[in-house]
Amino acid sequence: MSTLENTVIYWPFWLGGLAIGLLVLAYRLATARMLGVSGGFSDLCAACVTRRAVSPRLPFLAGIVLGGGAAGLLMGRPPTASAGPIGELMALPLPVAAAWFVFGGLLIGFGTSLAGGCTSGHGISGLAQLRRPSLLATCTFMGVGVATTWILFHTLGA
Amino acid sequence: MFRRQLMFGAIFGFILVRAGATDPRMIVDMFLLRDLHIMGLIAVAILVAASGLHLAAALGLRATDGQMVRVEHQAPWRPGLVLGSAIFGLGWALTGACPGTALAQIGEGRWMGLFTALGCIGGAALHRRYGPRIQARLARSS
Repeated sequence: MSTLENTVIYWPFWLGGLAIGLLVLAYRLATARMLGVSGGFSDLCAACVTRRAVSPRLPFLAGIVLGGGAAGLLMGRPPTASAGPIGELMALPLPVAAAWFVFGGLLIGFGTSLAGGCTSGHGISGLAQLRRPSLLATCTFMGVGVATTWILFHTLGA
Repeated sequence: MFRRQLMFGAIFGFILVRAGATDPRMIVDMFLLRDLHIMGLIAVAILVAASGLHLAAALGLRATDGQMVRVEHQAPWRPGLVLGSAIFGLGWALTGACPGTALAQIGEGRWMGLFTALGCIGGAALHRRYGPRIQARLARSS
């Protein structure tokens, strides 16, 4: 399958980018907050401990799941479509596959909490505000993502 | 505010899936620099958001808290910024997802997203426990 097939299925990058950019603006005006996801996971932990869901990010996170569901239904493809090498990991025995993604998730959850933001928090909201720490954060996580993938591909030949 | 946050989250999740951000193959192709679709997506989002924010501030628009939109260019320096970002980047490459896309993957029915998101919660919990200690150590050494 070529990447051309993927771009036929998905919105062109400029449309997705325009939509997200406008969403960031609308969110800023409607909630007085900059859009970001990673803090919501910490808030979820806090809510579990205190048994009180006070953070506005919790319904936001729940919404992401629902919206993702709606888009998936609309696009009508099986969710295994176009998953590539990472998708192939799901073909491993379930405990192994689950362990891989949970481990990766631990890195994501811990790393974004330590960094104070993720792709949306630092990458989009931070850079939209021209913040230098966010530029450093974004270059770092992008750079490590590139390096990791290259190493995995050239050692495992995935 | 609950319904509003839910709605915005839903729109965000919808866009993430519809634009291909939840497709792990797209992420791998981006990291291999084979297909810059996702990078282009992020770049356009930044351009649009930055332009709109600065325009809103210049026009003196007010948010629902009654305050005028101001773009805060300064942000406090976090000792864990670089290390945390590096750890996050590693996790992103391994799972093909970030916090937002992992959640959208769950909705979409990509079950890997469920495991990734569970891991994210665990990672955030670990940070609540050990983060301050690590940040203090990083602050001392920098």
